[in-house]
Amino acid sequence: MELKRMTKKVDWTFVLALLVLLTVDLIVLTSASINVVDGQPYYIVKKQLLWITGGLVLMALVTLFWDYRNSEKVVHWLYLIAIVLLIGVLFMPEQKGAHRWYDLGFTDLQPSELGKLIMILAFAYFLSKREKEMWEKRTLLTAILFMMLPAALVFIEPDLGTSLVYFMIFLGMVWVGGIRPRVMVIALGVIAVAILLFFTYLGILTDGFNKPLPDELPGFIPLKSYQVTRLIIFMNPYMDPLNTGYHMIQSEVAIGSGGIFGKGWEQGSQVQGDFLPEHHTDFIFSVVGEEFGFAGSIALLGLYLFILWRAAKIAINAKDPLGRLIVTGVVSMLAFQLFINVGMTIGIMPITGIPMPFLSYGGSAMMVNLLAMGLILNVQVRSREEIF
Amino acid sequence: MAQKPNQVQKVKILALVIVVLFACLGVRLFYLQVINEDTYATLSENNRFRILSIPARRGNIYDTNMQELAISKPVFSISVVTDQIRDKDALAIKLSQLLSDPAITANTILDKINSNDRDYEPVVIKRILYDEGGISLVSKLEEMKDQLPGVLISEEPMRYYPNGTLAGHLLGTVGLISKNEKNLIADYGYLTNEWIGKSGLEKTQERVTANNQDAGLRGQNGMEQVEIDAKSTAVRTVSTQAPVSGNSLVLTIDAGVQKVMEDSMAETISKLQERYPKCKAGSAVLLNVKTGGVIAMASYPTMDPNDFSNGLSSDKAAYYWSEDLKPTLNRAVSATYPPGSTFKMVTATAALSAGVIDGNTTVTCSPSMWVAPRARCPKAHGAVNLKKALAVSCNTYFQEIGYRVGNDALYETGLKFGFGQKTNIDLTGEVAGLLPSEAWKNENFSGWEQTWRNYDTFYMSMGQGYNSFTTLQLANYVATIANGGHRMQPYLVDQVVSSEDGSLIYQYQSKVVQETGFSDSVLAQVREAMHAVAQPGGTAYSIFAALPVELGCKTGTAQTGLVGDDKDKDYHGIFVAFAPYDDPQVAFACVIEYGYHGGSSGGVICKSVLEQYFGLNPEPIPDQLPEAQE
Repeated sequence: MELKRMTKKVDWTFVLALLVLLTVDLIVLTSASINVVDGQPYYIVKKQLLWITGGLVLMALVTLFWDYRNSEKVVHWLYLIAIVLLIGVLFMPEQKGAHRWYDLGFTDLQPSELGKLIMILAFAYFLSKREKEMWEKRTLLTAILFMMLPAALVFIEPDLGTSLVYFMIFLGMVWVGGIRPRVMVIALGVIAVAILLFFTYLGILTDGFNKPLPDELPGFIPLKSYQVTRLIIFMNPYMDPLNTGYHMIQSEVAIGSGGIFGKGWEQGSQVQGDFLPEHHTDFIFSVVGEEFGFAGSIALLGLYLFILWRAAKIAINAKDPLGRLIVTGVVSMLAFQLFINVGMTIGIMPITGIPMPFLSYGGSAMMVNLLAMGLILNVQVRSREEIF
Repeated sequence: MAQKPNQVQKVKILALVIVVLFACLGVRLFYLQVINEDTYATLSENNRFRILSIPARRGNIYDTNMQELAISKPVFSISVVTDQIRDKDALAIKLSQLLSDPAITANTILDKINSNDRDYEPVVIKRILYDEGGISLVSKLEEMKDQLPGVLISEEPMRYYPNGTLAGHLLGTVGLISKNEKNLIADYGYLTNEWIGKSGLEKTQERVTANNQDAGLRGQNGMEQVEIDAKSTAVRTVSTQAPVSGNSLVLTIDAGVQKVMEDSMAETISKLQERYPKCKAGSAVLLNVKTGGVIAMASYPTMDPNDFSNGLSSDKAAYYWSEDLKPTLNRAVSATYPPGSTFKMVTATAALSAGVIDGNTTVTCSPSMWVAPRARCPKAHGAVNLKKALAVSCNTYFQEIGYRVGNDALYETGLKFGFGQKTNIDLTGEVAGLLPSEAWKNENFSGWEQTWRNYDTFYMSMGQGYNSFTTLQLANYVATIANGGHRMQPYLVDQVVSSEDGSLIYQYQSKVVQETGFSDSVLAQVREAMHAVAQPGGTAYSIFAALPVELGCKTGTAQTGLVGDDKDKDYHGIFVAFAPYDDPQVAFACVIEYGYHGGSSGGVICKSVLEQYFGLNPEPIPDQLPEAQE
């Protein structure tokens, strides 16, 4: 009964838009991954299809068979488990220069991925209970501690990109959660000034972004030289054209050479000739730019924007602040990841290793993102009003 | 419920922020894809296409009968692109195992890789002929391609000399363009990996023009535009500009005569070595007296230019770069020797021309004439005229007539015969030698020695002293006597023929360098005297007695004048000749270092060469070389 009602109530436009996006992913990924595994041109896309299918099932289950409203205890336990896992992972052996993964034998588990969703749920509970008291200093500090603890743990793995996602989720949720606009504006202003100072300082250090950074950075910068290079390379990729800058240069060349209508599916020389590294993962948007041009890129961004707009409506129509905050968290997460990933491929954002949601190849990211869609739909089917 | 509208408003503001961020992305995309499409399209094309050079085939070199002396054979070139290698050591070990060439160890490969200062250019590790295991080696390498990142296999023409050492010195060598030839890359568009003539004709004929056309061995490289991927593997050929082969040369050299000259020199030297252990080197030249064309030119120890076409192996390098023998030296043009008695025709020509003697003038050779500073003869010859004096090589006679005509006339006459001047033949490393004069002595010495002394004149008259000439100069001097006083330009390249269509690009026209102006009667008397040398009573009679062709010749035995040599034992053997006597066609000159006697060294070689040239049945070189009398 209840199930049938909910199924009927599902925002099918939202679901349809998502399915279109996933179809686009399979089309783009087919072209992008044809030269990745020798002799098996469709290996990657087949695996992705498997992840999508699994993710969609998970999404449906989360939408229908779980209620966001009466899970507070579970969520608190999940928060604790997530923190423990994030601490524990720091003691795992290093892989690719970082302590991000648990090696489970058959697959690697990255706690910070699933952690994003757990933090959204936990923080939503935290904020929804403090609607009125939120604006006392002590509450604000607790909120900061609540979210910045996992963000800091991810940061020291090190995984700068994901810790920034945690931070953006925090900003989006604390904003909707009731922080005074004035406080928010001041905080953003301080952050902006800090970033500006950071870049000015590095600009001086690199001769106006014209030469590579020294290997040893001054002690007050808590990052390694290569990490900082990835952050500032978009200012001028030719400051290190053969290493860090290479990806960005080749990506800009791929997208720029796509022109208005692109070179055509499976016709992009940058991708097919392998000049563009990571073209089936972090730089998959460059494939869209090269093969489908400005028209295709804009259409794809439009599709994302449509889904986010739909999600924003769900947030607005949510039955309670808790649901609204959950959707806000997911929207902040996706929007920020999109902006930083696409911005990276077109040379206006740092290289942070954040994949493009729903488009980049990768099982755990796909599962987490579809699960996040499940959270949105979970709120939507339990909302106060009909959408239409 | 008061908070609720506030929350909704805030979600809307958040949505607006997201829209603004997406708009930023759109603007940047518009900038990249619409405004700057052309720029990025060009960059993308630059990535995608690469210009590869197709090395042009070098022109062939033929002898006068169109026998191949130098050709190009297709080879597989196995090279390494250094900037694509991650683990140099592993690759070097793997590749050396697969090549299984004892001369190419993992260390040699590493050295080659590490000494390459242009990372993006491939380093050639080995070149192997198709029919000498190339095909099987390459198929083996192709199978292992995945384990050999950065290894390139290409096909290119390699210089090949089918006759090995034959005419090796004058053909010269090719080698990879070197660091100090890098200016050629900018000036003539050479590739950084191009093979280029390094010595001999290969070098002098590399780039020449004739009749406003290209007439050199070097061709024009072709180009191929290929589409590549990020690993530089060619995916597709876009356009091709075929290379143009270099031109072929037809030489004046007769390979048959050349071979006989080289073989008999090797055999003669090895036989002489039994008696004179220092005898290890020599050179000889046969000229066409009417044109100046070089029919044969040999230098010993021999050199096989093939040894250089693939990079010298270490044991071969030890041979070629030995300071003692210098096998790469073309001794016919790059070494000078005192001419000894072969200079006596200069003295005769000077004295006859000046009128201080005629054919009947006699000088009595007796101990009373041998007062210092005059040199003595081995025995007293008695009263001798020119013919008799040259036949027995009488020092007394030539010192006397040299003294009578004076050193200036000797110098002028030597100059007209071309001594002390480069012939400017198309070869590398030619030296001028030295024809001494009063002025030269004045400039180069001090004190007592600064002045030209009587003994200088005596020495010069019989070819000792400071005189020092190349074998080619000696040959051309005899040719000038033989052809009636026209000093011709010696040359090697008779024709240049297009390799593309076989058309004649250039035909050499013989050139007179100098009309000496010696009268016919003077030269006829000199030739007659030279004829007497090979007649009964002459110093070379025993050698040529059986030769059906009449010839004029002169033997010479010259003190080496080198530090450390024994003045009484260490002599160079020198021999010059022209034939036939009544209508001279060819002139010959030969110097055998430490050969002691001219006749029993160079004379023997001369006989073999003339037999071959005139198509006579050759007689084997006798085991016991004839004793020359001198």
